[in-house]
Amino acid sequence: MARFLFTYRSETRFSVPVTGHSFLLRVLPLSDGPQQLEQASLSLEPGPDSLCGDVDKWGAEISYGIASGPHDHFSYVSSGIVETSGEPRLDPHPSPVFRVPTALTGFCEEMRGLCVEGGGLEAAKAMMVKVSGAVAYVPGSTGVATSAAEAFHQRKGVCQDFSHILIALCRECGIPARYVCGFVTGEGETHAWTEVWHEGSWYGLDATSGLPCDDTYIAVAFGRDAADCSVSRGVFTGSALQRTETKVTVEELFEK
Amino acid sequence: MQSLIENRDSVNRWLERYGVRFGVYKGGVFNEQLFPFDSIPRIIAREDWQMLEKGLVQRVKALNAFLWDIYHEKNIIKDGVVPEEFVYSSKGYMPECEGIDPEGRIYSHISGIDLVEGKDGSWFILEDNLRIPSGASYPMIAREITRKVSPVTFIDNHVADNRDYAVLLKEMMDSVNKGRGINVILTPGRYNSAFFEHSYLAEKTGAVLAFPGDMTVEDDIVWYTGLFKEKIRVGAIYRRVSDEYLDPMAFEASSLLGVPNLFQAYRKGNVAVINGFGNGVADDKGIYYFVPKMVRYYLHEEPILHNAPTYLPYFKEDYDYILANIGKLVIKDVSEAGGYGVVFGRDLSPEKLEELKTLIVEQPRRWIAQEVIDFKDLEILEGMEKVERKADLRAFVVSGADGVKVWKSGLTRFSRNPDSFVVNSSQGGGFKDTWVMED
Repeated sequence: MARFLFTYRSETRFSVPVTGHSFLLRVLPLSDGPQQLEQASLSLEPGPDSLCGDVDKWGAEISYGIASGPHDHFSYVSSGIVETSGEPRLDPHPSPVFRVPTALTGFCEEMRGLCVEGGGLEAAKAMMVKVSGAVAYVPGSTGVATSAAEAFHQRKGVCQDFSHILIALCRECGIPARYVCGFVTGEGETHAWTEVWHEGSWYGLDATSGLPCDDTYIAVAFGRDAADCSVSRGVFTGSALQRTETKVTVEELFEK
Repeated sequence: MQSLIENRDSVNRWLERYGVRFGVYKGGVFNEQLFPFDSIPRIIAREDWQMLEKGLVQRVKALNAFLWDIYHEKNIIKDGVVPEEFVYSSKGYMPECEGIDPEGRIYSHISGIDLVEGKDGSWFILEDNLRIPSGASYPMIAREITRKVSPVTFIDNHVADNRDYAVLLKEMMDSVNKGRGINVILTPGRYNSAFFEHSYLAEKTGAVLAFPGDMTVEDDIVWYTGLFKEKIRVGAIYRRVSDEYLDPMAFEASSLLGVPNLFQAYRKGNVAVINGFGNGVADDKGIYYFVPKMVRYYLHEEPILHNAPTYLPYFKEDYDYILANIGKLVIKDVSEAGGYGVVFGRDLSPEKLEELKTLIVEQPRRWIAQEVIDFKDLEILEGMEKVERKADLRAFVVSGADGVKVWKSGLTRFSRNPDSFVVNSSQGGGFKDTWVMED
């Protein structure tokens, strides 16, 4: 059991003012069995003309709306306190879509050597260790649209690619697997890992580090692959160049 | 009829003046071509039509029931009628649609059902198009023009008037709009292959033709921005943009053709989307096989219209049959549309046949095989000579909250190439008017 104070900041600057800016954000941790959101707030600047909240198809909090008037920057801060147990997530009837490859998580024969037969959590863990050893963590080596096969082929990638490759392997070996996007302790970017389904629950595995997830992993969104879990999406009118800086800060809160 | 034939060129000139065109992308280049009209109509006798009409209503009711079931209870899977993997591995299944309740439980408001007539006069369903079936505007305008060019033809022949398609559409749109706002037709724009149709149907139904960027979503309500920047609430969107491009916040993020956050407005029940999201799961070529079973399962009726004899490599006995008989079958890639990914075994060299077999062995779920149907050929004019060509019929079934209606006409497409069985307009075919006789 652990408690964390999290803050997610994003600031986008446009070279010329833009208008009609629609957005959809996933920047608040989930509140479910093993994880409870105690406090949460989201503030946006400029204040949007409309701001709605809902949960997406897999249960993640979404915040969406539109900022219509001209603006040359768009920033938001989400923060709050979340308590995690590090326990697996109960789910007796996982959606069958987590067994089927997607465009980003297709298996390729080149990965065959990393497959571990036998099924279940132990096989998935063994594959996680293999992925972590076979692929190098190289920031900037891939993009949001890079598939598992492309990243694996160059043996380089970032957390998104590690997760996609492990998903591809698990699904190929008959183990349901899903993508998770979230926060980890410290300062930096959002992180991504994998959950595999075993005997009624989802277990977190981090192929980037090669270790199972513990209570320092804070889940924000699940999905079939990274495309289901975009932290931030936006479209606007105006031919502006944009620059975005984001920062996640997570610090553990200890009892006084 | 003779007068119609003699006036063929003037009909085609009128069609050209109206801009009745069909755009085709090939190798990344956009070409607009005229959609050649053949003035000899396809004639469907009254009794044949009555049977077709009943069969089409039945089929579309079953398909809508299937879509509702798949996105809710999934009884048809639980009861073992449709194997789970055919649903969940289909590209058209959208988990986003789980639990959403469209007005009247209608997902496929406009269904384009492709049929062929066999030499013995029996009809077979080739394909159900439940996403954005196009083509109704062509026979509509052809009829409008032929009535002007040769009025006597329509005095001598008692042909059901097909100029009511726009009325069917409008009534359907109103029935799911429920007075919440205006009806719009959303077009991807001028360079879409069916742009003529979008603008024509908007004009005929009185709906507003909206381009990408004309609509915004605020607080889960869709607004159309008018000429003077005034905001008008939208109650129903007949969209001609496919699911994956329809909302960049929910689906393909790079899409500039959609309406951001439209999916949320739809999910909340604040706007009708015509056709609904997620229909691809029911018009997947692999799911086609199961449609007669759906009719029995949901309606407890025997299917009036039959599928072309179809084999799914997924089932062991079908798999064996396909590999043994591949040379006489037509093989279709379930994920392709528009006449792409259709291969006739008899056209392939022995090496190519072996390659195809390997593909089927590797990915059985990706393919279906069908017997080649001996189509009844239709006469067309090549120059002034009558020749026979393969043709199909796309029937349009309109389903609103107030019921299911079949348009008394349809798009008859023919292949201009005497050796080809593929009639899709994107493959360079032509079209005919379809006459449903009233006596």
